[in-house]
Amino acid sequence: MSIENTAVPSIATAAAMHGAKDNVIQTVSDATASDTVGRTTADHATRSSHSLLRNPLFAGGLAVTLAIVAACLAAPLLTRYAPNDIDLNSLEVAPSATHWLGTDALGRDIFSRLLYGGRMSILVGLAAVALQIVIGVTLGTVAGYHKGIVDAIVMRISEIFQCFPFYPLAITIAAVFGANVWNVVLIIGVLQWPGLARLVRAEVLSLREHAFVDYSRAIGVPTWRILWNGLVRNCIPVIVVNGTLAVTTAILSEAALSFLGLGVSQPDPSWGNMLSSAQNFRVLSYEPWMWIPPGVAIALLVLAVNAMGEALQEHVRPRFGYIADIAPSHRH
Amino acid sequence: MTDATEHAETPALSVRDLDVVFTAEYSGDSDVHAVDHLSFDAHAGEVLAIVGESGSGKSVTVQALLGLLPQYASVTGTLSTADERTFDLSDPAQLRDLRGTHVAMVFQDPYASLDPVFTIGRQLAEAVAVAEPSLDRKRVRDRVNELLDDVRLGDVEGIAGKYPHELSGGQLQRIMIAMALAEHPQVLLADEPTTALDATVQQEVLDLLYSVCHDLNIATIIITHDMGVVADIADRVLVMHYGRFVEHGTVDEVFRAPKEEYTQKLLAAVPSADGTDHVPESKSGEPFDDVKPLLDVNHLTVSYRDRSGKVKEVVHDVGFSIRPHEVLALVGQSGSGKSTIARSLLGLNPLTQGKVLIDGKDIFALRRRERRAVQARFGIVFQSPSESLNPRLTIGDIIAEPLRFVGHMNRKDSRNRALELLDTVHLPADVIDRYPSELSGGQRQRVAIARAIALNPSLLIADEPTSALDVSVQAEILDLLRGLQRRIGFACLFISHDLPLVRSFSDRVIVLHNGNVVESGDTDELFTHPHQDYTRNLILSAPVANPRIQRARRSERSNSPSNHPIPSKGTIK
Repeated sequence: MSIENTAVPSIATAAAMHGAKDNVIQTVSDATASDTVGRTTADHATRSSHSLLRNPLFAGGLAVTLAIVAACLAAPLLTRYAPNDIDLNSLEVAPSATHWLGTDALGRDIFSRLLYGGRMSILVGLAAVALQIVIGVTLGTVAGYHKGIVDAIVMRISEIFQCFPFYPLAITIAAVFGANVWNVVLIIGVLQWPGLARLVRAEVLSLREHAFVDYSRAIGVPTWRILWNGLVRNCIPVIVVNGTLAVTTAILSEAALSFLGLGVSQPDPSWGNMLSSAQNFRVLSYEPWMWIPPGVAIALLVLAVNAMGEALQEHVRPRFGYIADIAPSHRH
Repeated sequence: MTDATEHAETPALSVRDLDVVFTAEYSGDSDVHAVDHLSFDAHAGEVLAIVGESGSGKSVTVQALLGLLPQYASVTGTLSTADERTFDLSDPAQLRDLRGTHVAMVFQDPYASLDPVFTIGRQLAEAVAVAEPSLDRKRVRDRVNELLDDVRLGDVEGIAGKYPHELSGGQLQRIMIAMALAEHPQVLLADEPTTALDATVQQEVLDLLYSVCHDLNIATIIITHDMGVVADIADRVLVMHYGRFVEHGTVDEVFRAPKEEYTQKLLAAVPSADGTDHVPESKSGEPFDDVKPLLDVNHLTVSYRDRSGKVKEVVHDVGFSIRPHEVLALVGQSGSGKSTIARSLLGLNPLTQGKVLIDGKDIFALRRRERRAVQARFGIVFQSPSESLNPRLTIGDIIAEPLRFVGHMNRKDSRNRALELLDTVHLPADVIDRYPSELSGGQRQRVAIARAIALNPSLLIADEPTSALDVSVQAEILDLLRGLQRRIGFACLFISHDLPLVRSFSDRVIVLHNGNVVESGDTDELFTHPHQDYTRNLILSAPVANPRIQRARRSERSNSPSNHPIPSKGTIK
């Protein structure tokens, strides 16, 4: 998975789930079109995307996210220095016209590292959530559909995962298996799936009672088909909303692990390991250009993605409509 | 415009120029004109029925009168009462004075309207205390008992101390009426008050509404889509279509000589239970006696173990057989086990005992692969088309599902076959790429039928295929099913609670009650000469769209008040 083809966090994941729709807006409206099964109207889908974009929370979040992602992708065009170039003549210089955000202890350009580091942070966020979705949706769907013993086993496993505090466990695993990007993705993905699995399971438990699932079972449609067409595709609103919110958690977790030196390892930049320079008291007190930019970047991206997630959540919540009861043929 | 307003005395409620528009902001691209300049009067001691199909604006009308519409609805018009107060309907705050004191409401679903954690008595007492704050405790209790007597629940032992879940649907709807009466209203609004109830229970509630209206001299407005209900209790009828006034008149005028084309269409769509429109040629009509049965069900028993571990038997030792090309109807009220039988045949819930033979082979003894092949010979149509079509799939994918995953057709062939099937059910080819939410209820049910016949079934199982649809659409769907049945020649297990429908569609009928077969036989024979009291009462309790017949039945009932022997469980459907 490369950064280039995962333009916007959760939406790209949703598109992947749904079958390669690359138009962002279309995918969002698709995902929310049938938030209440069978109770929607034709215009609901178009209305959804319009009103979603008109929601300032969503529009603002989307704009900020897109800006940050675009800047990170365009890093080679926007920066004059390679992120890992060491310049011993300008160590720890303050922001200036030559180094816009100053340099770090090895004379590397902070602005350049910020943009390249952003790629890493976003990649980890997306990849970890993709892993969570694969594990969580699979187990949640299977558990919810089969109920009984399968459900009991999956739920007990998820409880075991949930009963360990995240950071001590993540730190231990990272220390044992070594600090690198893919280990961070694995740790976050494997430790964080139970939340999504439980949400999907709850949704599937109610979806499986719908007559369209009964129909497929009665005529003998293979189970994997029922799981995919009947259940997973109808869970997309839940997956999109919670996937979006999970991206923020994953980005923060990456930052925390890298800050502790257990995530993305030097010399490759990430927002988390850039922050680790602030472990030094002198840097913290007198050289704020080294840690303020990555800190602000993390905060901005997390807030923006969170805002989108909140807006999506609000949007897919079923509401009582009078319009849906009125036949479309007599609009005028 | 002829308005529904001519009458001698001052009306209890008079609505002028009611207009409701749902603004474009909410509804999408255009404004929706839900009610178009409607005027009508309701008089004390009279039942006014507002009739229309879904989307006619009848429910919106009632909600506008109570000020219950959401903000994005723009409402204009006035409402005046018998004491000559006039209210502006565009101002919901004004209407607060009106609600409860002058106008009371009975909603469709009593389960949703009562609080499950308080006793009936307490909830009634609360309504009484709100209506008459000056009453002391004892007087409130007396008033509650009086109200229970008014709705003829006074002699049910300890009813005031019971919780909603301990009562039947019919009893709960009576409690709702009692609550409405607590406030001494002059106008009672009832929005589809019996739609959620079984036929026999429906009759009790209608009788009660009828007597409340006439004995307590309350103007009653009942909203309904059911012409039988209208014929049964209405004095006057107002017909609406797409928010517009269509026709108004006394019940006899409207039923005997409907002036407008739409009203005629509406009345023509109702199958009549007395069999007057019954054409025998519409059925396959062949002699069946010497044909080997297609489906043979023997000693079918289904039981559940409930939470406390008690075994509850919902279907008890039921046996029947269906011959090729035959339509067999399973009839009964909710809780009679008719849907459970269908689900068991489809393998959706396990049988406790019994055998289901297809062409002499026991399906549940077969191995999985063989069973699949047998299942592929079933076509299935469920009650609610919006529930039974996956909202995420296009119509094409929905119809192709059995073709591809059961019939193992490739994508291209299945699409062509889907197009053919759409044509068979009279849908335009371009719906193939649309989603179910873009179709109307009737169109969705056509899609469900197209899917059901995709694999040329030898048996179609139709579980209440029309009961979620509007009356005029019901007739179309039934015609379609009948035509297909004759053309393709599948046998059909037709499950319904709607007796007129069963009479016009099926060859043989099995009447079920509490999981037991009460009676079975040839349709005409059974409807004209039912052997069991239960069957007779079931036939009589379905209201017929004929005011004369309904009046005769009502007077017969009131002459012999003990003649309500249906041991109804009265559950909600």
